[in-house]
Amino acid sequence: MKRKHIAGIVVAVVVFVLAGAFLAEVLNPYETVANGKNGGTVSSNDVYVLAKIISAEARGESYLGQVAVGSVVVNRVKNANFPNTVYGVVFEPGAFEAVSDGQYYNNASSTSLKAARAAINGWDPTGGALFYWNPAKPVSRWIWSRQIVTQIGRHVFAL
Amino acid sequence: MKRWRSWITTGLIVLAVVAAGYWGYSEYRVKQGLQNRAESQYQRAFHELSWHIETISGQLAQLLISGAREQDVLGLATVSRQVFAAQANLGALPLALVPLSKTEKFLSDTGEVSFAFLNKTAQGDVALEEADEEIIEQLYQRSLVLKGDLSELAAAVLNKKLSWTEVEVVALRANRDLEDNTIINGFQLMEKKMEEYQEINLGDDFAKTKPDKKKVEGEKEINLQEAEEIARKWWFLEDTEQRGKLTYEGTGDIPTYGIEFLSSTNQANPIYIDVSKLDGSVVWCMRDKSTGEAKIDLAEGEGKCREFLEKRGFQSTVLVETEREDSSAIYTFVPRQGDVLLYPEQLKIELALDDGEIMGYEGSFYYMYHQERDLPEPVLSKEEVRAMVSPHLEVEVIRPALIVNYWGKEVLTWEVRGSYQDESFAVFYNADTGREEEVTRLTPSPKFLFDLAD
Repeated sequence: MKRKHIAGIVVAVVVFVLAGAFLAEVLNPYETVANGKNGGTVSSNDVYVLAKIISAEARGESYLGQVAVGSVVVNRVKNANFPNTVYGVVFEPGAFEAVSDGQYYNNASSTSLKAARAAINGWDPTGGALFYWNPAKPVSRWIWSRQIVTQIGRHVFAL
Repeated sequence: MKRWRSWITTGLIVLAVVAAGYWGYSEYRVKQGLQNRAESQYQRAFHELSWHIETISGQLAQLLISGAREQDVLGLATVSRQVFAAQANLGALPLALVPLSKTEKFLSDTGEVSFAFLNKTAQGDVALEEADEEIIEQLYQRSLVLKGDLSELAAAVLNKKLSWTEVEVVALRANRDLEDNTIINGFQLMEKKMEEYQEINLGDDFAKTKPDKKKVEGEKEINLQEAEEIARKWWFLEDTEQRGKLTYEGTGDIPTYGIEFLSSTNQANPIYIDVSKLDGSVVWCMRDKSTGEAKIDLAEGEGKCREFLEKRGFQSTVLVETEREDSSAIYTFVPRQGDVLLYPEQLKIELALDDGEIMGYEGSFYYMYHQERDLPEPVLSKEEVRAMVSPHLEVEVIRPALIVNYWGKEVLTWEVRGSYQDESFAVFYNADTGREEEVTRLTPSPKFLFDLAD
């Protein structure tokens, strides 16, 4: 009797592990690309890359907050201390949480696409900010040494 | 019977355990493979970085000891190329959360200086002058610090089998202490040493045109109530019951109040208006607006933009660029002083092409750089410039224009717009010397269709 119980538990555990593995495959963030109904035209790929990073990093923020996040990327591209292209800035290892955790690979929202166009054309609510973070989340200590210039929505922006 | 059942159970267990084990092992192999690939890319970037810095340092020394112009040109070209590669490698390392601004500044300074001197030595007949060599000497001193620290660190990475992927994991976890790590420690120490050096004075050649100080710093002149009223009158142009509220205060490039008004037609999408605290100018405004099918064409849209600008005091502007996206368009205008187009003061208007409503106004350049300028008459005439233009360019227009050149300085030029087959260009000739200051490609980028999430 006892052996039977143990066997049952072992089978259950193994099934559970396999089911978990199966779910992990299915729910892989890299493959959750939703097929949107609406398309948008973009005049160059960097606008779309910018829209994707805005969409993943500033979900739930107002339009202003989304343009602000886009501005930080654009300001980094213009700054000599960061890579010189949108691609270089977005994919700099560890620079954006959404790239590290794979959320970046989802489709962009239509609002974020508009925000990306505005940011790349120079609309900048942050006044030149190079960093932003959510003060409610744990962030690296040194980042607090940057000079904060404004707060928009949940993010603080800094030079 | 009983025995038969227990055999089956045992068999199932064994099968399940083997399956789970096999799955686990193959997952582990895949993960290990990915990690090794990431590690090898980091290792390549890091060792190459160290090697590029060493080359830069050696080349800087070579520039100092050689006096021949040809050697200077070669050396400067090498430095310029190596800086570019070093910057790319530094950007590929997981150091985004480690402050390295002085180290990065060294690279960007070296890049700028080498490119500027390359320009000078390649175009003129002169070798590097004493003042130039002084700047190179300063860069060389700094390069020695980087070279020494990086090669030491590279040796430690090789010797102690330090892993960059581990650095990445530590750097990504904000709560972990960054300091107990040889690699990050090494970079931080190097940055500290770089901080001890004073900023290099690159001289007047590198001084960029800066905005009027009154526009970007100084005493706050406007309070929130005044800013709200300015914003309201500027946007609505007429009496309205609407009252704006403060969304944020900015202390970045320009100190501003960010004022938000609910739109009368669409409550969900407010209009944001940014007002300078210093003189009450509206710096920019924008709003989100969903646009339906385009009903007006670009020319009609231009009329709407002009009307918007004229009602806000911009009487004499020239449209220089139009970029259409789906059912909206962004128009770039520049003001004029006399006949001269003032590119440093450009304004952008975003317009919805379904109902012709304004979606945004971007005037931060106008705000920072607008002033009455003392513009001399061009030395070269229009005809003289026309004769300089390449026969490949089919000229459409030649007009005087003030631009900001590659080095960040305002120069008076003749703008020649034209096309070569499917490409269109604007070439800017220095109005005094005829030198080509800037060539800008104006051909619109190809359009792509993307899926959106909503």
